Amino acid sequence: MNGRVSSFQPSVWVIEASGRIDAMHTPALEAALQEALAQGKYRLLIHLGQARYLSSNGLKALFIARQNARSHGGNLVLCCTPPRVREILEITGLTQIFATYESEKEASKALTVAG
Amino acid sequence: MPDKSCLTVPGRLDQLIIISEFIAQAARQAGLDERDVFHVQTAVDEACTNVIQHAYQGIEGGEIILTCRRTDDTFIVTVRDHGRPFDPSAVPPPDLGTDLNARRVGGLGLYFMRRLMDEVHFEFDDKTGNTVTMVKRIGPRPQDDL
Repeated sequence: MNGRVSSFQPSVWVIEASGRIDAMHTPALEAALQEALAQGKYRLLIHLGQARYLSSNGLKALFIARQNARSHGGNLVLCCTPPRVREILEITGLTQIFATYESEKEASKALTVAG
Repeated sequence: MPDKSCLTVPGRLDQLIIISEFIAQAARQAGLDERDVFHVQTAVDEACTNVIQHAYQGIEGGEIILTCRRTDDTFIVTVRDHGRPFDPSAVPPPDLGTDLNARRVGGLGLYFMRRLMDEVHFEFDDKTGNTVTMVKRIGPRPQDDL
């Protein structure tokens, strides 16, 4: 899971979390998050456009990274969340924690304004 | 669907995709709609992850035994393992309260299972090990299945 600079805001780091983010694949997401945070990238955008599934392990990794980013004045938000993944966030009440946006452009702007 | 479908796999994380496909196929054959199929897949994925990470503590060699069956108005999945006894009462529920800094996300998997299924039961027996039984209520059996 590689990261890249947002096409819309150079200070925003985008991680595309694709496929099944189950317990088997969460370590790859954790590694991408930790690498970004270690490099001082605290405006994190998780692009879920190609995600088919997000398990509790994956959500936990995002939650911990979000806390880390926020403690450094940044944030972690989500964009392009597929309906199934959104439903899981809603069921677990995590839509109140993770800000979600329809597009990368919208999310990048929000991260820059807020951060 | 046949009265009962069974699958036994090694208790490893790379088996989660195989389990997910098995559950999806059994649930579709039982007549569940796609939303319910996804709910059951997610609940079973969390149950099996729990087995691998906690009951077997990441140590390979144990098995996960899955059984799916349909009754007139339910789809029932059981997940069995021979790992460490699991006591759900020892897992605190996730703290999803309003204090952002105090929220804890431990216990999310169990929370998922209980939110997505209509019933979740845990049993432990020295001989059979841990058994998780998860029930999804569904509509009546389609006519062409009778």
